[in-house]
Amino acid sequence: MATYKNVLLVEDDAIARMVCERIMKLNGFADNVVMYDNAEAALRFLSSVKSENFPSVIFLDVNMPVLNAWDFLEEFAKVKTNPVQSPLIYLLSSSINPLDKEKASRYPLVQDFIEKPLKKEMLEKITAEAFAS
Amino acid sequence: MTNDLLSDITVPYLSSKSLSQSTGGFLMLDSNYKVVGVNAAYVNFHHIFNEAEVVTGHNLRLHGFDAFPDIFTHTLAHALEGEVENVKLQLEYLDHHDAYEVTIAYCALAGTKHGACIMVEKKTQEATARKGSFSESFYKRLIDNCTTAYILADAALTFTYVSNGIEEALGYAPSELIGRNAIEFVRSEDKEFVKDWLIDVRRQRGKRISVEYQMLNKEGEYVWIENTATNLLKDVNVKAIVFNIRNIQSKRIADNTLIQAEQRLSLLLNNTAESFIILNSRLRIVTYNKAAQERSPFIYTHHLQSGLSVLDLINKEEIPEYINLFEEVFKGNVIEKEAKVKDREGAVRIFNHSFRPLSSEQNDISGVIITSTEITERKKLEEAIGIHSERLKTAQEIAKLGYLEYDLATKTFFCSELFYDILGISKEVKTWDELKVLQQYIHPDDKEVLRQEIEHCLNSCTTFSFEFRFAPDSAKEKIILVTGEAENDDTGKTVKLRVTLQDITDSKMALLAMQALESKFKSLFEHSIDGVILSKENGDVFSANPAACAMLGYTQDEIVLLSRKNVVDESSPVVREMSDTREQTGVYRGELALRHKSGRLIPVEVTSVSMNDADGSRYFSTILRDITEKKKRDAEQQALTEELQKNNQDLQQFSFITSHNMRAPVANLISLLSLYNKETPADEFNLVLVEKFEEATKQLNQTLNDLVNILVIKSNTNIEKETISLPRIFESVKANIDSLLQEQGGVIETDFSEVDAIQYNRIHIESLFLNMITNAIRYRSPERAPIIKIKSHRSKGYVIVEFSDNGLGMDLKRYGDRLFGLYQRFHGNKEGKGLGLYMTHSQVTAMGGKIEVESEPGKGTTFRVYFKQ
Repeated sequence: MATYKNVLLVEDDAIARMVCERIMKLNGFADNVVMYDNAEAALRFLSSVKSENFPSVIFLDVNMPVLNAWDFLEEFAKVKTNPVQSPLIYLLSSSINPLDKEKASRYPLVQDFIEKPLKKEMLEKITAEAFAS
Repeated sequence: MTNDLLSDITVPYLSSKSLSQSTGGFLMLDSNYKVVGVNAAYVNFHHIFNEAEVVTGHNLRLHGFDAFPDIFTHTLAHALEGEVENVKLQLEYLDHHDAYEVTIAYCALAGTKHGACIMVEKKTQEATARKGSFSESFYKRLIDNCTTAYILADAALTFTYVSNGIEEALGYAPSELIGRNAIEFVRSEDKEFVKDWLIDVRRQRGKRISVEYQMLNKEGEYVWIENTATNLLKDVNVKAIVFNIRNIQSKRIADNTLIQAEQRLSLLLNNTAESFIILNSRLRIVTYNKAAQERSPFIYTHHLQSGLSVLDLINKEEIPEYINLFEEVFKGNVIEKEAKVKDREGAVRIFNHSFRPLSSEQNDISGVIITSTEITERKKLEEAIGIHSERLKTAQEIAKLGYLEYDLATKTFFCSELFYDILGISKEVKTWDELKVLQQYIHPDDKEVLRQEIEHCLNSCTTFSFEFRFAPDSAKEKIILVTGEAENDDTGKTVKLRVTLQDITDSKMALLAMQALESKFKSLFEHSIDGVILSKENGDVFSANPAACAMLGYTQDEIVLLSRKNVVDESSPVVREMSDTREQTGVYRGELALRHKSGRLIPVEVTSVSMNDADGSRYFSTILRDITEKKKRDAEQQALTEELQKNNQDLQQFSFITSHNMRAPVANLISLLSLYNKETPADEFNLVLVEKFEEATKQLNQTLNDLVNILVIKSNTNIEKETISLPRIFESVKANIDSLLQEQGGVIETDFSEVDAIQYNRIHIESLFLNMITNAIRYRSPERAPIIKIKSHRSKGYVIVEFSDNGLGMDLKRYGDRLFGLYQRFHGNKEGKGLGLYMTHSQVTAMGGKIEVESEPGKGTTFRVYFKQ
């Protein structure tokens, strides 16, 4: 049994997707990692997924074609019909622009802004914080 | 009884009154020791030695005489028995150092009775009497040779001694009068008051009382005498009434004559308006007239009265002053004294008092005559004149006017003090020649002109006014304004020349300085690069400098016809604010737009000051500076700054983005490495990782290459430009994408009819065309074949090339802001890297152009590329 049953990863970079999934699996963070390479598809998934399979954690790449993370968050606020389902959303980015971090802090849905690559320690921290609260 | 007894006594005590008042003690006893008479002096003496009472009618108690020396009682007994006639005893009462002379004498009493008389005299003063006795003969001689007669009389007024002076006074020998009574020889009319006088004298001891009356002289005539008497009966040295008789007959006659004369005089004088007071040598008022009562120096104290001493009439504090004054008068000097007096109405009146010596026939000064005149009016007049002349003098001094008057006939002249002051000459000029010498100090250029001016003035009897330079030895040159006037006599002949001089050096210098200043200002005004406009309060322009004319496009003649409203928009709030500010603070500084003659507006910096001219009327001095160029520069600077800021932001953004894109593949590599199973290299997954590793490395390489390309574009703004034929460029690009276009069944329509060439970089324009066309094909609608329209046209300094397609279109609301961003992709397909539009946009903007986009999702997109020409 991993920490979370369902985790959603939205990332347009194939290598990054693979790497993230592998790390989560290896560290027992998620049983099931749902992955999308674009935000539109991910949103469609979230609006149609059964509530028992609704992801507890969403990792979201910031820079994506068409809809980026900010677009996703706006759209997600619209599709999030069930208030009980409030996943922990983490942004993933290789950006070092402080404006991005600041922008992230303005979205209440966003837990944290994680600098790529996603590491084992980060997953442990997420776990610790989630269970501490 | 006692009185009867006493009347028979031959001792020189006549009445009980004189007896009782006598300082000599007196006791009279009959043969039986009965006290017949006693006086107070004796009682005083008696009680020194004897306590027993002495009472008239009672016997003297002899046993009480214990304290008396024995000789006293023995002698008394002998006297009573008639054995001794007169015995003198000296008794001393030692306690008081008093000595008494006691005389005990036998005396016959009335009838057949006899008795004794004891007389006591205090001898204290005897020493004094004895001391002075050696000079008695001297005094006697003195008295005898005096013209005034001295007569001594006893208490009964009987002459006991008469000095030789009586012969001189009345012709009698002294012996003829001794034994006669004082009332004898007195003229019968005078007897009554002489008797009163004598009683008076006798009553008042030691007091000198004078009286004048007529006495019969040896020749049987009554003559006037002055008799001064003193009662010295109690004086132990004199023991007499002393009379001092002086013949005043001649004086009396003279006095009477004088009185009569004075009466006549006073009658006369009292009826004259002139006031006078005559004083005698003792400063007593002899006479005065009615007018004097009003005007004398003494009116403010008492009424005048003959016989009064003037010293009694004046205030004590003035006495020393008056004494000095009278001393001067008695030396023969005439003293004038002015006095201010407030009369009863409070008006101040001024008197002139003249104190003159009054000389007698012998030229001795026997008195003073004081005449007083009221000079209030004269004084007022004098003061008024004084003020006038003072004013005139002051006016002359203030105006610094020198004055010279020349009399042609007498060749004499008069110069005022200031005449010298103004010319700066210290030496007074006395003669005409000396005056002529002064000519040498006149500036050579002015000398002849001045001479001509004066000559002309004298000849034609006119006035002249001339400025000349004058420099006396070693003194600074002065500029003198001389004005002259000739005066004619009745015949029309010039008789006088009056000249006034005024030193105008300072004002002249000031004037010159002012003129210099004015010309400086004038030159500033004329040559200033700033425009200067002078306008009246109502806005009418009355002067403008060439710069202002040039700025507004008017000539000097035209500009003075303008008013404020022709130049500024008076309804504009800025102009109103300017007027208000200038009204309140006197000055306005700010920027305004002025209307040029051509109608265009010129931005100017304005400084407008409210000023007053010499007449006090207000005007405005407005300084204009054309700031068109400045405005332009400011705008350019502003644009430049904005661009710089933008570039800066771009650069920052760029660095963030590029770093992000560099970091992404690196992050992948790190992750892949971390997943690599080093312990079991044969791990199946390791192979996958190696594969991915290769992919990530390629990704990194690609990113690096892209960045290098971007940097080349960014850093190279000075790209070579050439004339590019748009159709030709299009053809060359089209060749590259023709297969792709045909594959999609697309068509490209071009219209370069309006503009077919631009100035641009060949490589950039090729890349742009390729990018635009590729994008249009890449993001085609899946529902239709792409149709691309390319059209060129010109607008406001730009050549615009428009690329329109019928493709997917975009939601510009969402993507507009990142359309030209680096690595921004808006379509899900994999073909784009998000570099094309970024690169194109960068190139265009680097060349001063811009790109506009219109798009509608599902309909298509239009890019308008602006090339700056």
